[in-house]
Amino acid sequence: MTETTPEAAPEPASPSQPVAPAQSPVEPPERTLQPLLLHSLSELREIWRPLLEAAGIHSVTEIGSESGVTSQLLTEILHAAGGGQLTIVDPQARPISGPDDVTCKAVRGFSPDALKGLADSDAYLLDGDHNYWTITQELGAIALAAKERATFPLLLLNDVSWPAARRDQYYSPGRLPHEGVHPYSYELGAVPGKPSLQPSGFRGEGQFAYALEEGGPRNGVLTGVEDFLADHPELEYFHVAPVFGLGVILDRSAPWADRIRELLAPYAGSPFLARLERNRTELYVRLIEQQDAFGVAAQAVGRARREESVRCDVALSEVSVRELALRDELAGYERALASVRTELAQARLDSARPLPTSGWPQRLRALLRGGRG
Amino acid sequence: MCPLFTDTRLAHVWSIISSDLADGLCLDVFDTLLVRTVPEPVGAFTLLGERLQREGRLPFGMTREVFAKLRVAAEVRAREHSTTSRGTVEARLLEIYRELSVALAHAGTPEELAALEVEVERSVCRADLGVADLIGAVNKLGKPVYLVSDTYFSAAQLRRILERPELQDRTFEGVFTSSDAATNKGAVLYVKPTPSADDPEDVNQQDDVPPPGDGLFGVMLAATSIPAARLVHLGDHPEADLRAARHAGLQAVLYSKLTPHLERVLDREGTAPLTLTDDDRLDREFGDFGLTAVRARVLARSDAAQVPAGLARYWETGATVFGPPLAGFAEWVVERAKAFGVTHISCLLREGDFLSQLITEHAAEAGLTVSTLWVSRQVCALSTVYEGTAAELEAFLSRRRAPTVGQLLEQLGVPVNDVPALSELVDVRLDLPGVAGQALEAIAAEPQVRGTIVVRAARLRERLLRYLDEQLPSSGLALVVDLGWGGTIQTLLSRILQSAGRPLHLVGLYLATNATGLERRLDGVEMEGYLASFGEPSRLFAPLMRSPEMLEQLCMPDYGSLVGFDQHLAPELSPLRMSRTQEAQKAAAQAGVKAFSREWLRYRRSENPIPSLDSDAARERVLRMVSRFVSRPTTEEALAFSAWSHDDNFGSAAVEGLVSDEMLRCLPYLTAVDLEKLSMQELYWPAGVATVVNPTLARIAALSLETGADLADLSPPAAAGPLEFYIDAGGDFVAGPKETVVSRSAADGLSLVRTRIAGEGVRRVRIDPNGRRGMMRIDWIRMSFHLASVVDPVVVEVRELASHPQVAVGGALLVQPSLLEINTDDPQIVYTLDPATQGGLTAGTYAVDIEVAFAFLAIRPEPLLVEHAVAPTSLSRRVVRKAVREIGSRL
Repeated sequence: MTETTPEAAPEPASPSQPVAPAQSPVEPPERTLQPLLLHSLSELREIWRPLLEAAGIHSVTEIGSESGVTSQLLTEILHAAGGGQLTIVDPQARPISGPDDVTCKAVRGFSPDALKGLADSDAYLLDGDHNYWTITQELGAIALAAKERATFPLLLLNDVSWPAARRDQYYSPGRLPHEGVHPYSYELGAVPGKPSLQPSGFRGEGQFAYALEEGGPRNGVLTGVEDFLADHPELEYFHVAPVFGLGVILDRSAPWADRIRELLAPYAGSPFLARLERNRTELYVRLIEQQDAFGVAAQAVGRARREESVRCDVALSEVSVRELALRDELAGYERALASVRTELAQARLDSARPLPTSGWPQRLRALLRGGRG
Repeated sequence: MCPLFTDTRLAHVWSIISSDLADGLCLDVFDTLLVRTVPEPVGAFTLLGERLQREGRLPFGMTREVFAKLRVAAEVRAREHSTTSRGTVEARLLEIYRELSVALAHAGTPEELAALEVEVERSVCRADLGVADLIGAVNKLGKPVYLVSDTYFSAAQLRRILERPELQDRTFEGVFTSSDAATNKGAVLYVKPTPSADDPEDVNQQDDVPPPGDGLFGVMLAATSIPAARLVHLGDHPEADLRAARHAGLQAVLYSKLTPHLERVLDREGTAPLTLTDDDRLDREFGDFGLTAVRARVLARSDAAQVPAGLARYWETGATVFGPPLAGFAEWVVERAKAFGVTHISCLLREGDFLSQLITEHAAEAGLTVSTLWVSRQVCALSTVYEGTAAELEAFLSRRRAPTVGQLLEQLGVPVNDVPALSELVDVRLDLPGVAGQALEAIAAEPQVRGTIVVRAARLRERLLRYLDEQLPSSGLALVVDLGWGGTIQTLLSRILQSAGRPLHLVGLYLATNATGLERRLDGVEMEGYLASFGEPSRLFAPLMRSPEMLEQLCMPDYGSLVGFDQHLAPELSPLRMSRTQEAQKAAAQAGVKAFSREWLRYRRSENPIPSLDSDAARERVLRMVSRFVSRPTTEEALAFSAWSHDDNFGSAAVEGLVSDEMLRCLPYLTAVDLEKLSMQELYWPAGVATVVNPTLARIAALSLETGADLADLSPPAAAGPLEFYIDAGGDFVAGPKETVVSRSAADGLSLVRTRIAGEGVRRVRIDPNGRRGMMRIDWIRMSFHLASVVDPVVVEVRELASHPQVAVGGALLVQPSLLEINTDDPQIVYTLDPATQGGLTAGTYAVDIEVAFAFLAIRPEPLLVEHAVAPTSLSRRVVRKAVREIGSRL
């Protein structure tokens, strides 16, 4: 295969052939339909990786590790920076193997409780339970741990766009204090532009629940971030819209702050990216609605088929019962025949037995004698 | 359109309502309107505990089972508190969780936990589809439906649980629960306590007598204008739903969950009652997959009710024991076919006939076609004969019961006269030592005979290949399905196709494969098993492999095995050797399996399907069902199925009864070790027969299977000690062979000792009981003299030692005809062959099987206080008899 160099002039396209979009002839196009809906923080790696590199971090804490892809990326970043410490906080956290100069610590537990007692880090990736109570507690715990630091750690947060921006999402509402939980539903779904949950829409299929209403105080991840920032004027927030949103919190006085601003400039606050994200989520919700509508129709068809199958079942059962009755009757005849044959054979044997030629007279005489006596 | 019901009880309720004998329907909820995917209600607590544990909400060290037990205990406390504080035994879910929250500090508030239990209950429930149809039909008539439930759930919580697609569009006029009403359905039965003037201590005056009232039915009736007599109630509890409903004036129909026999089956399986320990083996997510509910439902079908009485046990066993594994197998085959990307499934005859019927029901939905394929081990074995060598012909010998030389020749198409060397061995079984080798070598040594076989094999192979070309794809992959075990037919078919250059790869999907398949797998034969693969899981699968005949016979069609094809490729079959009675019984069992399969499919295809039986956990659960049947049948099952006979599926005339009279006689004497040692030829279904004849032994053997306990530990040595066996082959016993066998004691002190001893030149047989002081009752001594070149051994049986002219007793006193007082260190029982009549045995015997059945009682060494009933005599029995005759004639 020939690699195209930037200097090489492209071949003029034949008039009859459509011009293919420019792409590398070596690497196949990246598959973006697996999963159908991009949702992981790792999908935004091209944006946040340079930020961590610019901040020269040597320790990072990841809250919520999901598939472990992001954890792997973090070990690479730490290794490139000359080594360091990765702390993973997750109920199912597992230590991952990384380069020798990267220490990996897995803390199994739920944040924010699991953050207590942990050493502070240069950076945090927050991708745990996406609700106001959890995010504010996490930010508070981080702030407490970082109070001795010269600069506040660099924070990266997922799920700061719709749907969790202004609506709490709960993986385990029973774990949160009562005051931290809005009325919620596991079944109803979120629809862009509609504050109340809907019968269809974006939902967790039993895996997580959403607050019934969107907006209002103490509701949603972004609301939690804003309330935290209100008390910390030394911090600056950047919002990158795609893949459910990437939030970046940095210390204005950090030596790497300008570089971070520079790196985020194309993305942060981009109306274009916000439109794309809104379009993406709306299309997905539309797809869910159509799936649900199809499901309802399929249910109706299924019910009709079930009714039909009951009819077939009843008919088959009747035939089966008739067959068994006939077989039973036939078996009875066979047994009766066998019995008759046995009797017949015995009768033949009896008839073929020669009459006793001796013994009887004596026995008769004996009987007669006995009779007389 | 008039609704149809497969359930007799629902049909009855519908007939009441549709004929205007009732104006409304009243329903119990749990186990009536709703079925669960757990065998019992408390199973839902285990699944809730599982979820809490997964979410890290249970305290350290608390398992899901401990949570379930706490949940049960908390309910008891809540009811106690409710009784004292509110005067009702009915507790609310929130009250239960208030009790429980003390033990679950970090699990959540009582409100949250109660809400979570509602969700878990909702997830384990499915609507009973028949009842859902009934409600739909009643709704259409415009008649009201009321729900009346004794439960800790409130009406609102119940409505939440009832929010499910199967019940969409069903409307309920009212929902009444005992927790809301603080009274239950059965309260209507309580007699109002009236003080008795005569007896001031009348028990009715005790404090714990519940208050009188109209109960929950009364609450429901107060909310409707329909008179009680115009309502019909359906529910599963004989007291609450039948007696109480009738007492309240309603018409009532009982919707029992389990039959008494199914309850015993579930108990033996360990399915129910649940113990709330890890023995319950509930799947983390799917509980029991809904199997208990569907098994119970299928027994109430109208076809179950109409099966002729003599066939009912077979139908029921088919439905509840064999139905789940076979329906699961059919489901699995379809899933595997989809995974392999094929569109057609070929089921190997004969069992494939029945299997194809089951699979077709599952396959239609997936767009797969199913057909049967005429093959047999005999046809495939002959078709793989290319040169007629002894090695090739050995394929004819790989069967459970060896054929005779004559049967082998017949299957090879060779007249007996063409192999003179075998003319005297026609009736000899090929498993006798040396016979197989001698026969195969003799056949291979006759060029003309070999030629005949090779030509016949080539013609059969050509027809088989033409047939296979018609039936199977020309290349690629073909799925073949069979009951299974070693994959012999698939292996032979692959060899034939490969030799003929057909680029076709066969993949075998089997109900189960045993360890025989391991070598074949290494040879490239691709096979998979549903219940077991290559004999694993071994502990559960071993009983099934010990007695595979049950499944084999159950799946048989009404025709014999394939022996060849005619020129038009029409199959030529051996005659079927099954009685019409067994045919009818088998057909009933098959009908039961199909009924379960249809019922299962109905729930699988509902709007909210029950879980698939494709998963590993489901497969183990259904394997446990069939394994239980084989290893621990109920008496009813054992009585029904132990009468079945079995043919060896090799086109031969061999038909075996499942149990011989000799074996029936032996069974009370056997220990678990002895039972395990019995060969398949002796007893096809040891557990089944033992269940009827020796239930204690059956229980011990089953216990060993369940626990993995060593059978020897469950079979204690008998007090009699080991027995020694000697053969005098002309040089006295000292020079002859000797065997020592440890005797073991069955549950009631009976013992059976068996051994085989070399017997060339046998003149006398000696049995030495151990020299322990005691009384030994010899029930029989059975000696089987195996002669070379004779099919069956010559059997000599001694029932009475005292009267048998060829038996002499030494070193012990005969105190009754067969009762020995062992009073020396060297007791002996000697059997002497009569040279005049048994000279042939001395000349031809190569081995002797000796069996001694006895009972032994150890006694103290002092002399006996009673007179001997039969005086010891040194005279031979023959002399004594002669003397008796002479005395008789003089008298």
